[in-house]
Amino acid sequence: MDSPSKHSNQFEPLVLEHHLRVRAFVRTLGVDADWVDDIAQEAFLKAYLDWESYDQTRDFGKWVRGIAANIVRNEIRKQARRQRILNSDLVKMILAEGKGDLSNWDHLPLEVLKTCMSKLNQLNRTIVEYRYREGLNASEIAEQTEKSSANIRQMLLRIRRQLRLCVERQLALES
Amino acid sequence: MNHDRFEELLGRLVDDELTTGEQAELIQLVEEDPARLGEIRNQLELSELIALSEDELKGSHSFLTSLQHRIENDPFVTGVHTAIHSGKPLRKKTSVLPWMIAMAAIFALLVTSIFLFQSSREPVIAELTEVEGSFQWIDPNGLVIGALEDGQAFTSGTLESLTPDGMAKLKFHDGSWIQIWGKTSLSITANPQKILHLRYGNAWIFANRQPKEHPLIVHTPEADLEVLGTHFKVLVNHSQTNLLVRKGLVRLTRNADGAQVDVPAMHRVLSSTETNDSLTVIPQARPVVFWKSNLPKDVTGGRWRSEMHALREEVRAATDKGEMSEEEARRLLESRAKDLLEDKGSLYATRVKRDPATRKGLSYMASLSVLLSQAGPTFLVDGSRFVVQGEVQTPTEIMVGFCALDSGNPSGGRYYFRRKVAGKFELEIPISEFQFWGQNFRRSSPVGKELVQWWSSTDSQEANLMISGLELLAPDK
Repeated sequence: MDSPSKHSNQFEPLVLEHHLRVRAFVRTLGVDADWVDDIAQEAFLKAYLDWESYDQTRDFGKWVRGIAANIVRNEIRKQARRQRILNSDLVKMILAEGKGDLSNWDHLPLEVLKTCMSKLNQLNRTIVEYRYREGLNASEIAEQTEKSSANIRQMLLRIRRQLRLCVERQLALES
Repeated sequence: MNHDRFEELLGRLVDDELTTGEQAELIQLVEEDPARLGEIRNQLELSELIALSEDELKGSHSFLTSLQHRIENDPFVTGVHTAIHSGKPLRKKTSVLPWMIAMAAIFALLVTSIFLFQSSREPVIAELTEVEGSFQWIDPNGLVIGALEDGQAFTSGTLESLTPDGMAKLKFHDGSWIQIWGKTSLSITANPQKILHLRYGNAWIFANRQPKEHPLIVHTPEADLEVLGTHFKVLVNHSQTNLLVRKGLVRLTRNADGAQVDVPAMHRVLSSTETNDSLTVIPQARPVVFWKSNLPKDVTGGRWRSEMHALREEVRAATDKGEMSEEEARRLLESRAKDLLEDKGSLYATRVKRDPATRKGLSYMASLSVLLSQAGPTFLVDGSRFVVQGEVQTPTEIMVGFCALDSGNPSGGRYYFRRKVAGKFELEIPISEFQFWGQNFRRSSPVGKELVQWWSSTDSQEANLMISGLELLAPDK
């Protein structure tokens, strides 16, 4: 097979097609939010370097997600200085549960999620914006909204559940 | 009960706020009911997807650009490109013997190790001569170096301060200097043309004469600056690029419409993405020895809340709880609007991570730039004193500090003062009571230096530190 450099044109559309799902997948493995992109990029970089071993009849996204899972697996062995995961024991449990099937994680399409987000009520919408657009933590949002931080965390959990349900319903309707 | 606790811990996990004890507790709860693992993954996935949808910085373009940058600078890929261009075969198309694979692996490992330890095979272009505060260096491969030291040599890459109280100085091989302070992100390349990207923050640049065909270029989000040799300050805050030229001439080109102006010595110009008004070059005002902060204009760290904003939030909370109808809320806001001003309010300290890699050193900080609302430089003199007004919800020790630059050469220093406060407070602090803070910058008195950045911080989240006023007073006559 050709060297990877000859595949730059082929590689870029694949990155654009798959990066969102790879990034979301990396987060589901228990990776610290600040390091998700770093690990996702590392996975794509390894895929690029290892292009010759890629069987092009296979699902590219699944292949890269498998590479990402291996990077996270190696991360457990690192000491705390540069560890990019939330908790080693938790990540071990997630990886053990997947038993090599982790890359089959059923992903939610971002476009459908955006539609569902537009249906959130004003208060929920505001909390999502504070959390994800302005990067405030629960305590800071609590200060802005005059609620307790525990209350805000609970609301965020419910909002995320509500959004998942909405996306799944939407997908069921479409299918 | 366990379920409620799990929910609480899950919320904290997704917010990245679990303590070590809570992590162990969460693991135990998952072991009790493994189905909880699925819920954790669901929440993490949704959290990431919402962040991808809401945060423009996480868009496809920036991800792809960073990845391309990493690919282009990967030593293995560079090696492949070199081999292709030199016409040497990379390897035979025939099957490869296992020992050759092993050799290749060892070679790749060696290359990677060399790459990791030397950061890159690119030539060194600058040296970090002084650094104080929380900084990190990101090399072109995305490798983050956290513990920066005085004298560290760099290839191209990005220097970022993690908190608003840092100062650092870079020196190029031709003797040009860059001093940065406050929360700043500055990328540098020199091949051989020096190209800087100041994404945000503050830089004081002392450029020695550059070759005509290779002027020094500074890109900011709002403008491009071209210089052959000069001394100038650049500030990028609030969607604005503020250029203050001390010596020489700098050509500024506004990104939005290509409008150009030449800014001579002791003049300044403001380029903003929010207006297409013609670029106006104005003389810098004469130096002064007093300053009253315009908090909403000067804020560089923390959260500004105007009185009107605070009232809107109170009203919104009341309507959400059903304590007030929408009509009552509208009438109340209209009746109070004339009494409340958007530029009156308070600056709240917000969380800063001193080291994101180890998550150590959380602090709550509010910071202000002296240069944003002042028309000219502000100097500290013998007898200068700060008056700080604010409030804390619980008694705590606060730190008040500032960065000051030497007027004639690219150096400066950080100074701090600590005091326990409770409730509403007003502190009057002579600059003689501030301590020099740091080891790398030359220890010196702040007297005679130009004040550029001010901050206040506490380690207590509960204290909810708020600053309502700040002044630098001239010495009593």
